Amino acid sequence: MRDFISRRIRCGRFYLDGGMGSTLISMGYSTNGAEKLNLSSPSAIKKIHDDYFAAGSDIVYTNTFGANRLKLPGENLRQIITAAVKTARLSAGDDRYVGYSCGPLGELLEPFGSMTFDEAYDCFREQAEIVANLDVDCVVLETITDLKELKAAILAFREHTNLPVWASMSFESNKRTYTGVSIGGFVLTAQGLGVDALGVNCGMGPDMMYENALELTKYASVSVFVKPNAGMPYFKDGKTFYDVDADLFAEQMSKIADLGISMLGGCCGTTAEYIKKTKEATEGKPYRIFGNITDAVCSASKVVPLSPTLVIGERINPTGKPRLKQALTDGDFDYLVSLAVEQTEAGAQILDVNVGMGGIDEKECLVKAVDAVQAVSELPLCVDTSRKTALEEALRHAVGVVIINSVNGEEQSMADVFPLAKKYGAYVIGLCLDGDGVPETAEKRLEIARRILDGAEKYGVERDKILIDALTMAVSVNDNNAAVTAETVRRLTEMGVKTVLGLSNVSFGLPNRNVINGEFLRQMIEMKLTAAIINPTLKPRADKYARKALAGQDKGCADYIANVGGIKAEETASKEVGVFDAVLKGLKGECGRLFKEKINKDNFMSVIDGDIIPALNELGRRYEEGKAFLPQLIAGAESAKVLLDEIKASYMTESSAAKAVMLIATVKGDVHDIGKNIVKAVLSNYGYKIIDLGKDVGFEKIKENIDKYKPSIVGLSALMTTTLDNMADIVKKIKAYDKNIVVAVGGAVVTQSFADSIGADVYSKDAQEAVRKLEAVFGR
Amino acid sequence: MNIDINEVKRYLRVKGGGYEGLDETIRRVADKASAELCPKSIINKFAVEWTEEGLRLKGTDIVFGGNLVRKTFDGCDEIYIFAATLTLESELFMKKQAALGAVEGIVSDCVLTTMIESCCDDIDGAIAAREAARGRSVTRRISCGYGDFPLECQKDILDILGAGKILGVKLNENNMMYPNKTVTALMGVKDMSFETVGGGEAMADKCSSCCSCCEFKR
Repeated sequence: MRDFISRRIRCGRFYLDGGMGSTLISMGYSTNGAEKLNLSSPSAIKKIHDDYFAAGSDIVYTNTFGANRLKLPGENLRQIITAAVKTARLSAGDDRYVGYSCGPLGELLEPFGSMTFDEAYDCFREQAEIVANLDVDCVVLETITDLKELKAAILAFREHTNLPVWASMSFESNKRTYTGVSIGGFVLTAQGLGVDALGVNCGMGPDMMYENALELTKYASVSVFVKPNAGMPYFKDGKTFYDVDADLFAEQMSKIADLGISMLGGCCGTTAEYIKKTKEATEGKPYRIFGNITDAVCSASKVVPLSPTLVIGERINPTGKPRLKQALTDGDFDYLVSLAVEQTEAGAQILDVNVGMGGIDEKECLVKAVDAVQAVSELPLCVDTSRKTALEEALRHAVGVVIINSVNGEEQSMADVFPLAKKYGAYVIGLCLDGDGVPETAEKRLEIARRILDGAEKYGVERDKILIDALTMAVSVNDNNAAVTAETVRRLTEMGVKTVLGLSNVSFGLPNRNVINGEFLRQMIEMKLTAAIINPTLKPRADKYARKALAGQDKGCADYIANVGGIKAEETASKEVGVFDAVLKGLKGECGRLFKEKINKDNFMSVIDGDIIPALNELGRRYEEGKAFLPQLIAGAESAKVLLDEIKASYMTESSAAKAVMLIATVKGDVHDIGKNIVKAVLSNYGYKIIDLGKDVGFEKIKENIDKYKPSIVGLSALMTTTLDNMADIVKKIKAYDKNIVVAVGGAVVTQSFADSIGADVYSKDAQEAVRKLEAVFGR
Repeated sequence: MNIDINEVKRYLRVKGGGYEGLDETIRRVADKASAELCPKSIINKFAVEWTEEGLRLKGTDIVFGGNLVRKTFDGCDEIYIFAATLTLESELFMKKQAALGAVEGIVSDCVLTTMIESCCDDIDGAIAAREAARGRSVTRRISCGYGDFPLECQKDILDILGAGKILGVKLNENNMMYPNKTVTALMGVKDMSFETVGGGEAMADKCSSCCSCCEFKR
């Protein structure tokens, strides 16, 4: 009778099987829908299993790699999977092991493709519910290249079965999968989610896989397995061959075994002979139990060790940011995404994501924000919410090992947060406050910190995964506030506890906040604060007045205000550019300052009519005369957009309706969307509400959005001659569907005569001409 | 990877020198792209034979039909098929750059187009050199969507190369490849005695066979 598999793999060498699909091909079967052979030719599948066991495998994987509803649409998955397990168990008997093989779904998840995390989870859940009641020893998730997909699979199988889960990804020679997942990101994430073993498989032969296996052993704290191909495939006389034979394979696997990796097998192109020879070459070699402890957070691609002093970008937080509030209310995540990228570029190492505000569904919004940020930034996240449901949903979607912001000293808070931290392998920020508020002394804050650390252990979360926030209170409110915070941090650090501060709050109510914030940051770096939640552009600096204020030696911060408050901030000292010039020259960076300094509730309309629109018109004129170029036109349009978005968020009401709603798309069969994006950027500044449907768009999607948005205009672009027929077809269908919609067309190969011939209403050769022609119809 | 700024400007439709700061922006994006992205490719050579339907890969049922194929590969008994991609990471790169600013977005699109074309030129040149050493010559490269070479052939090309599994390239229902910065191409091989234009054919010649209204035309 076999031992429990999770124990067995830690007690000696353990041999996996070799290729299934490539063996089926060599037997004359097709791998397209090969899982159906479990029903039609079980003896062929059993023979493959038997051969592997005869060669020395301790486990075989079921022939279920693609047994999901996307790869086998309309098939009875329960029948197929049940038959596959039955065949494998028949071959294995009671003494040997059967692993349920589960491969990728074959569709790309967002942001690469259109499949959502929840849809992927549901496909895996369907398999898990079937497998839960079958006689298998473990689930093996293999050949996956997207960490988000792997996470969906791990969660589905852990939530719907009691089986041990093994996870394996396919990496390239640059130690990344082709979606950019790093080995460290994979290992830390999978271990955080509680897998029992992890490995690398497919994509390359054992020689090239050595380096990837080595990298795996640097992070692993669970058993490790390696399953390479029989080298690289090549095509000859209509057949696929692999360039590494069984002897060479075994020789190269022997080197991998020398890393201490105990679980060895093969993937595409390998056969029973490869397993037999590998076993002969490695059986007597010593193996290791890996027990790495990596104190780090990660995203899919980046591992960030938690060593002092990390910068957690604070700017994705709607508090005090009307433009972000407006964007979140509108469901527009572009601005939030730009904040993520700006902070990444400015040197943040982790990004805090907080969308807590009234008037939105925080759970839905936080998940979208997490997805949007992770689509553009490789930084790990700090998920910032006080709502349990929003937190859990965000933790499911976030890829990597994240920090939860936050728990506090109250029992209910710990009962809500710590089980989630345990399940998703997250770090947690613990706030030194409870139902009685924020204690005024360091001693009392430490008491709460101890309560939080003990609470974490009670729920199975290691103390090392807690970062205590000593709480930053404004020195303008109480002279001693910063000193108490600093004392708390000092003592926590002495205790070996990780610390974090939302540091900018110290300067609330004071002028030139960067000066005192910079001094406080410098002091905290010296104290080995683990992480500071700040604007990443903030740099540590020394200032004697700030130092006095922070030490509680400047009553009411009077000296600081008198000596530092009068200095004009460096960033505004030397620049005197007006709104017109900022738009004309495309000085996007200036627009935020200009909005604050030059625009108010009384003059915003005159600024729009007197500066912003005239500057855009002037830029358009220069462009048409060949005196300005495309990137300049874009930069001007974007600068105008920054100002108009700020104005809209701060001063305009709901009744400030758009001139017209316009759908815009690059037509089906074409992915060249530069021209379409320029038209969008320019037109949106002239008061049109633009709904961008993207590229490669057919009539059905346009029709769906006509019904949804009731547009006055549909704009279509095409670059390739081969897609002009599609444009003609779409124009015809739009006109047949709603003859009142104005159809505007453009693109590199579109001409006025072509536009006329297909019944389009407006042709424009570029964005500026589009403005002029549409303004003639819709301008007011 | 060396990225030709003038090529990027051509895709940006900037004529002449451009304007102050443009070269710097392009160089900044190009340096980042070179540091972050690693082009990947897969190349395979196939024996071919002519049938009534067109050019067939021997040992398979894959046939490439149409006038462009017939004209380009006349006299060839082998063809190279390759796929090159800047990988899915290029999609994230463009998203990131576009989030930094619309100018960075459009510049990065043009930089990556230059990059993948340059990668194809390198493959093109390497194949030509290899065949020249064998005393054979190569044709210019053509891709699905050129002339009457149908986009529908894209699936066969990706499948025969195993590009889905090896490079992560996907094809949608309209035969558009993803990642967008992906190119597949065919190059014919024939004896030197056949009239040929040689490998690494001049850019101007590549443009000369295409439509006259293209604004990117050299």
